[in-house]
Amino acid sequence: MNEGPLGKMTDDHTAEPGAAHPPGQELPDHPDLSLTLPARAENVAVVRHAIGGLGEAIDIDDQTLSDVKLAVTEACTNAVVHAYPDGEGPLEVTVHVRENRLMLVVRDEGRGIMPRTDSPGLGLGLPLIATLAEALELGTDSEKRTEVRMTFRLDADEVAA
Amino acid sequence: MTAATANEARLEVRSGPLVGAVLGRVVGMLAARALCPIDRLDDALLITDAIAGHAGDFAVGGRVGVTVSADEEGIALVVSPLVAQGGEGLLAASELPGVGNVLRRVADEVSTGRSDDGSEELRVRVAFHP
Repeated sequence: MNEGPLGKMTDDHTAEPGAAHPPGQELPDHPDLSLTLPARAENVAVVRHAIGGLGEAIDIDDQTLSDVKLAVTEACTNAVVHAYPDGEGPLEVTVHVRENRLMLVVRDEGRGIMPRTDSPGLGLGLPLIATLAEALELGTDSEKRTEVRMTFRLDADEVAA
Repeated sequence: MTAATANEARLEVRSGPLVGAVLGRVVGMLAARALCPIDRLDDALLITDAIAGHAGDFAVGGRVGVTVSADEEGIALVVSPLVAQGGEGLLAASELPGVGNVLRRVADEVSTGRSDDGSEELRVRVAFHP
C-alpha cells in the first residue's frame, strides 16, 4: 500500500482521494467486537463464522448479513494474499454497531494496497466490496496499519427506499 | 495488534449477548481445525458458554477478552484482563446447583493467575484425549 491514505469510495462508488478517514467517519473508541488472528487462508473462514455469530446476536437480516460476510471475506482474503508476501503477520477485524450502521474494519501490518502486475486474483475484490457496502474507505490508521473500512446499513427498509 | 501463533485467535467483545455468539463460533472453528473429537468439542462449547455467561461481570472495562488456541493435544481459553480476584470470581460463578463447578468438572486444567502484563486471568484447557 502507499504510505499515505488512499481515499474512500461511497455508495455511488466515486473515489474521493484525500484524507483516509474524514471527520464524521471516525470510529468510536472501543469496537463491539475485535478479532485478531494470523493472516492465513484458513482463518478467513474463522472471521466469516464469527461475523455469522455477530449477525445472529444482533439480528441482522439475512440479505445484509450475506453481503457483510461476502465483503469481509474479500477484505480478509486480500490481506492474506497481498499483505505479507515474505511471511506471515496479524489480521485484525473490528466491528462497531452504531445507529443502524455496521462498521467493519479489516487491518493488517503488511506492505499496503498497491497495484500488482503479478496479482494472482482478478482484481474484483475491492469493487465487489464497494458494491455491497454503503461506504468503503481504504487507508492507514495512526499506527500505519493498512485499513479497509466498510459501512453497512442495518435497516433494510432504509436500504430499499 | 500482536502476532498470534498459527492456530490462535484473540477476541475482545463488548459484554452481553455478543460474547457467547461469537466466542462459540471461534472456539468451534479452531477446535475443528485441530481435529478435536466431537465429545470434547461439546465440552469445549459448554465451557465457552459458562465463560460467556459470566465473564462480563469480571471483565475490565465491560469488555471480555479471550485468547483461544488449539493444537493437536487440546484447546485452551485464557480470559483476560479480569478485575482483581476476577479469575476466582468467574470460576465460582460457574457453579451449578446439583452439578458442581462446570469449569472444574469439564476442563482438564483450570487455573487463575496473572498474565505477562500483570493483569488477572483465568486459564482453562480441554485435552482432546485425556
